[in-house]
Amino acid sequence: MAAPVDIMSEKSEKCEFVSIMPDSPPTSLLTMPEDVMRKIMEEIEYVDIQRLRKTCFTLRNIIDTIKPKPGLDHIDISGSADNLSVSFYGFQKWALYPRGPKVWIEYRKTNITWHRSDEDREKTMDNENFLDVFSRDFGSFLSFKPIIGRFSITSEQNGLKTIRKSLESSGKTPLKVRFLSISNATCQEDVLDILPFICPKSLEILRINCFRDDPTDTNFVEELTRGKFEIWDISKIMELEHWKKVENWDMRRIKVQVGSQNIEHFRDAKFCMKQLTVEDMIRVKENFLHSTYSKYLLLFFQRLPDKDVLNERFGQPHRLQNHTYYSPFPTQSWFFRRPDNFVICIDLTENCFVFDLKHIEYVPEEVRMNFL
Amino acid sequence: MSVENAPVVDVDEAAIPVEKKMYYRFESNDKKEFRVSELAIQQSETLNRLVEAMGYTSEDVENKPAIAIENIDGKTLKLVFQWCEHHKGEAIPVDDGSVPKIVEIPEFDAKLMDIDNGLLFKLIWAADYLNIVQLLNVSCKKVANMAQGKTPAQLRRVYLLPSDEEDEAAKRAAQEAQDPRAREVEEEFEERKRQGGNSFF
Repeated sequence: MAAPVDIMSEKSEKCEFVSIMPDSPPTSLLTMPEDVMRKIMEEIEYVDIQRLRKTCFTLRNIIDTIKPKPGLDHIDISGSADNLSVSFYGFQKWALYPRGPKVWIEYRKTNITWHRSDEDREKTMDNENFLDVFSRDFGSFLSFKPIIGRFSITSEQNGLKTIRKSLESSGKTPLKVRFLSISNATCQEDVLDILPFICPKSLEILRINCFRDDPTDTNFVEELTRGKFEIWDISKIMELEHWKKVENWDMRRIKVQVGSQNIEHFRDAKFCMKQLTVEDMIRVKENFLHSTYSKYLLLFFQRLPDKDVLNERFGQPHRLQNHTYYSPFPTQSWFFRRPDNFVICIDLTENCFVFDLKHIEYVPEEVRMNFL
Repeated sequence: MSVENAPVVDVDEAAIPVEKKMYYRFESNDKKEFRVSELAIQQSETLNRLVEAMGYTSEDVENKPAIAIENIDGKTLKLVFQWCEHHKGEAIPVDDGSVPKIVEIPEFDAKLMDIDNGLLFKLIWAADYLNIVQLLNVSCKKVANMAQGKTPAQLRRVYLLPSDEEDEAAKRAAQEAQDPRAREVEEEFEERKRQGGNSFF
């Protein structure tokens, strides 16, 4: 706001206060200055904003011009062919409306249920398709929130096609999402139902999972060694722009067979390979040796046939206590110092390699001594 | 001590000479005069710049006319200066661009703002006008909180809003006064009414 211009006139008996502001205070919310109105609107929760839009068209115009961004930037969608369940919430904002800001709505063929902290509301579907209603609500939300912070999609009984249709109909694709999680996917085609509708440029983290509820690493490794999981062909996913652009790619719960050269570009990657070789690991190590940015790679594997030559190629491993936090299994570790004081840390536990590039001050002291 | 009796507006004279602080005099548009400490004035960027530029001495403060604030009434200005005195010396928050902001309303502020909505809107307007950042933050938060869980009809009452019909009638009257072809406004109203009425909420 501009400072008052006139301070005190020599000629005047009174101090004058000249300003560029409107000279009368507001009589209602509608007459507030624009910057104040924006400040108020940005503090109001999404549902209340939608209700304010229904009060009068002057306020509706103001809201549609200001487009206050909701504090809700997490969206969870799960669905099948017959229903969709959608939640909008924010970081640590899990209480349902009206006690908190979280919105949870279930769309079914016959009715819609809005789950609330006080009492659920039902709406019967009259001559409307539940997908159309969802797409309209979703599109409306996205017009206030053009970038979604975290978007979780869970498929129920091959529901990804239903979700795909509704995303398409929202008129807001490609969606700008920073963190996308696709759970309960069964094959590459499931992922291809969703990914083309997500903007690759804004996507920073992608997590694809074939489980609904993520198993622990221990349970997963046990199942993996028994050869339980089917291998996925992800060749078409690898052709997408997302494969090149996304920096953090997490498919650790899906067994694939991808050459190590195809995952070198990720800053942070987590995969599960059917088979690794020591040559693959040497290649990864070389990639880390020459990387100009920080990197992290976690590789579960079902088989490592030439494990015997590992010590020959990498040298004798360290066996450190409490070095890794993620595995209950014994760990062998190797450390390779780069000229720039960064160290490639390689941990091998039961069926899992971890490559991590750390500054020397973050490697265990007993190892650091060897470099001095 | 209740907010109403807080020693912020009609300052305790005995307290003045002890610290030799300056107390400026301000006058509202309905001729109510207020004495406000130099430190409290710092909460208002606008007033602070004003008094700095004036360069008053202690004698000037007493002898020259009170500084007129011509578009804020006494009732509102009293609340403003009560707030400034209570929060004097506190750091002024810097806008980091985050939305929504994390704003907690302290107990004193909550009591101060336990007023009718018309006066609350005036207080917000005054906080904006005088650029009192934290008072604007808490008062906007208070107004925003008033929306929680309300139906559109309740929201109209809380925020003193017209209904679509009243809004449209006012618009049409204004439009007709300037332009007899008010029909277009009416059509626009009907269209917007349709746009606003289709969400679940």
